[in-house]
Amino acid sequence: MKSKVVLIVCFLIVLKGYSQSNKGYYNSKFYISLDALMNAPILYNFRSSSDVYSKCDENLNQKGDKFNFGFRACLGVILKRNFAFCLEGGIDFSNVYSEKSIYYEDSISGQNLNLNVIHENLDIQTFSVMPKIEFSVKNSLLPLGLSHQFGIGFNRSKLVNNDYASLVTYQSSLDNSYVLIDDFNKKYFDFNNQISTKTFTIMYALNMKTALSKSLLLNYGFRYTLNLNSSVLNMTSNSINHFYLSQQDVSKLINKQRLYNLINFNLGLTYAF
Amino acid sequence: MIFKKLICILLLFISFGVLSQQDFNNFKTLNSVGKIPSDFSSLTYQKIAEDLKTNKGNLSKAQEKVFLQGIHYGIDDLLHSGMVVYGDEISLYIKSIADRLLENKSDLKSHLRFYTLKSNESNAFSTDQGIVFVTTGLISQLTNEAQLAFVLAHEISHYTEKHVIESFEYRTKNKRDLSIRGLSVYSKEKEFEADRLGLKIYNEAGYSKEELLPSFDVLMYSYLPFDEIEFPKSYFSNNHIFIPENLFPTKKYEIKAVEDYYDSISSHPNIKKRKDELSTEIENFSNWGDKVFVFGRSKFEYIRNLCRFESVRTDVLDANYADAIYSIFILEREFPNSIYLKRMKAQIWLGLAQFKKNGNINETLDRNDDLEGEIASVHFFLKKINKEGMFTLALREIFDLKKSLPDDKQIDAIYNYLLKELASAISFKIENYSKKNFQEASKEFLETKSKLPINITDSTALKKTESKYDKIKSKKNTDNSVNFDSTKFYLYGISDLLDDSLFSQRFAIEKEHFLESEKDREAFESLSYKQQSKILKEIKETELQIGVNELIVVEPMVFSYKHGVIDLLKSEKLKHLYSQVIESSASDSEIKVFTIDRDNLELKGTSIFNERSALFSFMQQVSREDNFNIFPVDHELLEEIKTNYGTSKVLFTWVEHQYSPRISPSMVFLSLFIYPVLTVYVPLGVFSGHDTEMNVIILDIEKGSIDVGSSYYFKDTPKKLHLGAHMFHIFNDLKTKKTI
Repeated sequence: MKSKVVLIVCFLIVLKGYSQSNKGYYNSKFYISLDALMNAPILYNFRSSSDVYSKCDENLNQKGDKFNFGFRACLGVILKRNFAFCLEGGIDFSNVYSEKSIYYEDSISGQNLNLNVIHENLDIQTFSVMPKIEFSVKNSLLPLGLSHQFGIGFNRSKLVNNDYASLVTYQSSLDNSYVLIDDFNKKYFDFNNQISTKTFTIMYALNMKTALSKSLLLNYGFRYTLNLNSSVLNMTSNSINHFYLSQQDVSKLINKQRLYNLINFNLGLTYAF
Repeated sequence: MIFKKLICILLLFISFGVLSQQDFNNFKTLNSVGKIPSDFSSLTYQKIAEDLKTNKGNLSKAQEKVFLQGIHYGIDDLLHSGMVVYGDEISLYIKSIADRLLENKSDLKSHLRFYTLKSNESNAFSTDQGIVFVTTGLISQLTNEAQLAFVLAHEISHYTEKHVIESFEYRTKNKRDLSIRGLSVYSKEKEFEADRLGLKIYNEAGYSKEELLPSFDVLMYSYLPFDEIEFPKSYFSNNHIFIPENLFPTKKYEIKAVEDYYDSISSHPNIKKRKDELSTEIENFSNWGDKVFVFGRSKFEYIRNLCRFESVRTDVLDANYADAIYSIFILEREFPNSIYLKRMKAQIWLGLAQFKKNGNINETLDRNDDLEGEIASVHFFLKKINKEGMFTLALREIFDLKKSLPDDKQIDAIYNYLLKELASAISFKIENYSKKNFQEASKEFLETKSKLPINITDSTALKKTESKYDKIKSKKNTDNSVNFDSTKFYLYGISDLLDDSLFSQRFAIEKEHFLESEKDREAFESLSYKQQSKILKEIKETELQIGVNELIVVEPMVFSYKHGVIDLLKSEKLKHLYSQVIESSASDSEIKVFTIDRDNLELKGTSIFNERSALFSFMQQVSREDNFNIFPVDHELLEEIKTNYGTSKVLFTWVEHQYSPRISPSMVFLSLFIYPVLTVYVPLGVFSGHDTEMNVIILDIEKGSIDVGSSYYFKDTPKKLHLGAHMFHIFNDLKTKKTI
C-alpha cells in the first residue's frame, strides 16, 4: 500500500511540474492506453516437468496451457515530444500447476506406495502497478510511432479461490499398476487462507503506435518482463517434500510462473488528448 | 474598305509584335507565356499509364515499364526544375523554324513540342515523348538561323528514328547509366545517321549548304564565351580607382580545342569525322537553297541577344562570376545603358566580395590549367587580386552603379548587402583608406620625391643599404627607381566615398550592428560549457519559432526508397498526399499557406509556374552557399511574389522514407542460443526498419537567406496522419514567436 501511495505522489509531482508548452501528437499532453496482453507460456511449460490438467465432467483431462492473458491501462503525461511518464495498472490471468510424487509406506498394510497427486490448473490473478517512462527517437511525437518503455513495478498475485479438482493415484509395488484414489481431494490441499505473493517487475517494452485518427491510435508491440521476489533463488528447487500442496508451495508455483512469464504481445488502443 | 481594315489589323499586329519584344535596356529574364502545356500540367504516373498502351519496339513489358518510368520522371524533373520555359519568344522562334523544316510532315509538326532550357551548356536534345529542348547557351553561340535549323533537323531525326529506345536497350544490356543525360548519348552510328537524315530535312527546307560545316565549329568552341574579344587591362580602372596591370596575365592563353581529337573511347565521332561525313552527304543533294535567315537576320540576332542576356543570368545564378563579367563586357558594347546588365554587375561584385571574404573564391573560377582564350584574363585577375583589393573594387563598382542609377531599388539593396559584409570583414579597415585617389597620391609622392636629396631617391644609392627582401620587393615594382607602391592601389580607390556622408553613416550603422553581435558572441564564449550548452539547447528547441502567420509553400517532395532505389511511382503518389497534409495541417494550425505546386498548375496557370521557377532558382542559389546571405538573381520577380502573397517567407519541404528491417541472418542464428535475445532482436529489427526524415527550410526572400532549416527524423511510416501530426507540430512552432 505504501508503495502505491509513493507512486501516486511521484506522479502528481510530475504532473505539477509539467509545462504547457510541451506537446506530442497533435498537441496532445496526455494519453490513455488500454491494452490486451497475451503470452504463450512456452518457457514455463518447458521448465515444468508436470502435465497440465483441466476439469471436464468430474474428471481431469490432460490439456495444454496454451495462453495467458491480461489487461493494462495506462495514463501517460507527455513531458517532451519524445519523452513521457506513465502510470500503468493491470491485471493478468494465468495458471499454475504441479504434480507430486511421494514415496509412501502404508503403516497398516506395510505396502510401499508411490503416490502421484495431480490437480486441476490453479487460476492466478495478478494485479500490477508500474510507473514507466516512454521514449522515442529525438523528433518523434509521442505517443505516435515506435517507442521504448522502461518500468519498474510491483505485482500482487493471488490464487483464485475455487473448487479445484484433484486426483491421487498410486502405483502398487506389487503389480506396478496405477490405482485411482477418489476421495483425497480435500486432504491434499491447504487453501483455507488466501494465498498471495508479491513480485517486483522490471519491464522493457517495444511499442508501435499507428494513428487511426487525430486522437486515437492503435498500439501493438512486445513487453519483456522480469518478475522477481525474495524467494526467487530457491523457488525452482523441488522443495515440495510433504504430501499435500501447502500455501507456500502455491506461492512458489506462482513465483515460478511469474519468473518465466518473460514475453507478452500487446494490442490495444491509445487515446491522446 | 476591306483593304484599309486589313492594313489596320496588320499594323496592330506589327505594333503588338514590337511591343511584346524585350527592351534590352530593361531586360527581364525569360518567363513562360500562354496556356500551360499538358507536358507540364499532367501527372507523371498518368503519362506512364498512357504510354504503356503503345508498343515500344522490342522492349519487353518489364523493360518498357523501366524505360517509361525513367524517361518520364527524368524529363518531368527537368520540366519542373525552373530551368525550362514554354511559350516564350525563344521557344516560339524555335518552333517556327521547326515548322518550316517539317512543312510537309504535318503529323510530326503537330506532335513535336519545343521548349527553351535556361542553361549555358551548348546543347539540344530530343526525347521519346516528342519534346525538343534547346539551351540558351547553344543559341547564344550560333551565328545564323540556318545553323539552328540544322541542329533542330538533327534532333528531329533522333526522335523519328527512336534512337532513345535503342540507347536504352544498349545501356540496359551493358549496365550503363539510364538517366536522361545518359539516354541522350547515342552511338557514333546514330549520330552519323541523325546528321544524314537531318541534312535531308534541312535541304528540303531550302537552307544554304554553306552554313552546315560551320555548325560544327560552334559545337567545338561552345565551351568558350559567345565572343572572343581582348579584355582590356584598364577595364576596372576609372577616375577614382587605379588597377595595376600586373594583376593581369602577361601571356595569352591558347585555345586548345582541335577537330581531329582522339574519339575511340568517346560516344560521339570527332568533329573532323562528322564534317567529312557530312561533306560527302552534301554532295548527294543537288537542289540546295540559299536561305540563311528565313525569319530575318534581325529576328535571329534579337533572339540570340535574349539568350546572351540569359547566359549572364545563368552565370550569376551558378556563381560563375568571371564568365558573367566577360559576357557583360561583350554585351555592354552593344547595350551600354542596360539596367539589367548593371544590376547583374552589381550582383557579381557582391558575390565576389562574399566568396573572397569566405575564402572560397576559387570555387567560382576556372583552374589555371583550364584557362583558355581572352576570358582567361578575367579569371586570372580575380584569382590574383587580394582580399582588400576585391573588397575595395566591389565597393567602388557597386557605388558607381548606384550613382549611375540612384533610384534603382535593386542596386541599393545590393549596396546594403555589401556594406553589411564589409562592416564585418576584418581586413576591411576604413580608417586605412586615403582621402586622395591614386593619381593624387602618386602625384604628391612624386612631388615629395623631387624635393628630397638625390642620394635618398637614387635607387643605386639606396640599394647599398637594402636587405635581400627589400630588393625582392622593389623588383616587383615596375622599375628600379623608388616608386609609389602600386600593390596598395586599393587604399586610394574609395577616396570620394570617404567624403560621402551617406556612405559613412550607413557604414557606421552596419559596423555598430556587427560590433554588437561580436559583443554577444564574446559574452556567450565567456560562459561555462554548461551554460553554453543550455543556451544552445534552448536555441535548438525554439529554432522554428519565427512567428509567421502566412507562408508560401513550394512543391513539397517525397522520396520513397525500396532496396536503396527510389520508388518513383510511390514517391509521386505520396507527394500528392503530402501536399494535402500540408494544406490541412496549416488550416488546423491557423496558418495561411499559398501552395505553389505541380498539382495546381493547371488550375492556377502559367503565373504560378513562373513564380515557382523563380523560387527554385533562389533556392538553388541559397543551397549552394550557406555561409552568407546570397542576393537573389531574380530579385525583381521575388519582390513581385512577396507583394502578391504578402509574405516573404517561403517553405520548402521534402520527406524521405525507406523501410529496411535491420535483421541480420547471422545475428538471428546467434540469438537462437541466447534466449530470449531473439524475441527482442527480431521485433526491434522489424519495427525499427522505418526511417522517415522530414526536412523543412524557410527561406526569406527579403533577407536572401535560409531563416531556419530543420530535419525531423522518426521511425515511422509516412502515412497521412503521421505526416500531418509532424507538419501540425512544425506549423505550430512556426507560428510561435520565440521569447529567448
